[in-house]
Amino acid sequence: MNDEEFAHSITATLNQATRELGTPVTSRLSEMRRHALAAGRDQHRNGHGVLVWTHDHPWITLIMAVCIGVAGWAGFQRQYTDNGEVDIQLLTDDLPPQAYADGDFATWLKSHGR
Amino acid sequence: MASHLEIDQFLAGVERRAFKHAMFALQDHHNALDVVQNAMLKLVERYAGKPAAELPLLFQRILQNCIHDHFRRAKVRDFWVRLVSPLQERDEENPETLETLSANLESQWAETPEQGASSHQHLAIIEAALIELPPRQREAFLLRYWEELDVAETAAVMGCSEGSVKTHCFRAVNALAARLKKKGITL
Repeated sequence: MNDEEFAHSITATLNQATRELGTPVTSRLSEMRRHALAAGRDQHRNGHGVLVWTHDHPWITLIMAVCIGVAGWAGFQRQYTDNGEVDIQLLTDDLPPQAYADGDFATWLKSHGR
Repeated sequence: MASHLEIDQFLAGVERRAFKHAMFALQDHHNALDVVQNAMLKLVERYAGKPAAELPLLFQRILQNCIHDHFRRAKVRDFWVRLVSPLQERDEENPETLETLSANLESQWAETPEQGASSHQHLAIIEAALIELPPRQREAFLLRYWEELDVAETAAVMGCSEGSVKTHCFRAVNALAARLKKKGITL
């Protein structure tokens, strides 16, 4: 008997042992299988796919979070700089800043095409 | 993508062998069931989108990882328990080794005088011989010959080279043959 035949004789005996597993174990295994499949269905139905994906790919999730953070910070900085330039123009202009809040002044500008 | 029916049928076909795999490795009924349950959940929750043909290899890899994780957690837990437990000396007086476990398994059937006891004795001796194998040899033997994975697939599941798988299998077969010969069993 060569190695392969010997190994298959052993596994045939093991197969017999699995068929003779007690009812408590087999019913528990069936219950576990049903539970796992139900959990999979619930997950699919509840749309937890994104959460599972982020859990499975933590590095990609981290890199994406950092990229979003950097983009948001850069956008905020640009907006802050633009506001600063407007403030400087307002303060250095001859026209007082209160004039821009005056509704009548805006109407007068439109009517005179300025 | 595997349908729920395909996954159900696959798990139904593999669950008993998976339980025995875990039992050989862990030697604890409840832990073995826990490990199989974790493996089933992980397969369904994370890999349900894979084709049905890939399920056997994926499941075996998940199962082996779950068994290894169990040992890792037990090792960490034992470290802290031993560090703080005053019962350390008492535990060391009665170590439950693989030899005692396999001897118990053999004696469980050795005392049965009924008809058919012989085959049960053979089974008990074979299972005891498997338990006594080094873990990597047992893992390689069971994956290669019981799960009928080829050498490359077994290597992928075990995370080692194909040469290592062949070596583990060769040694496992020789060790099993020697053990069974010593017990007077011919297959």
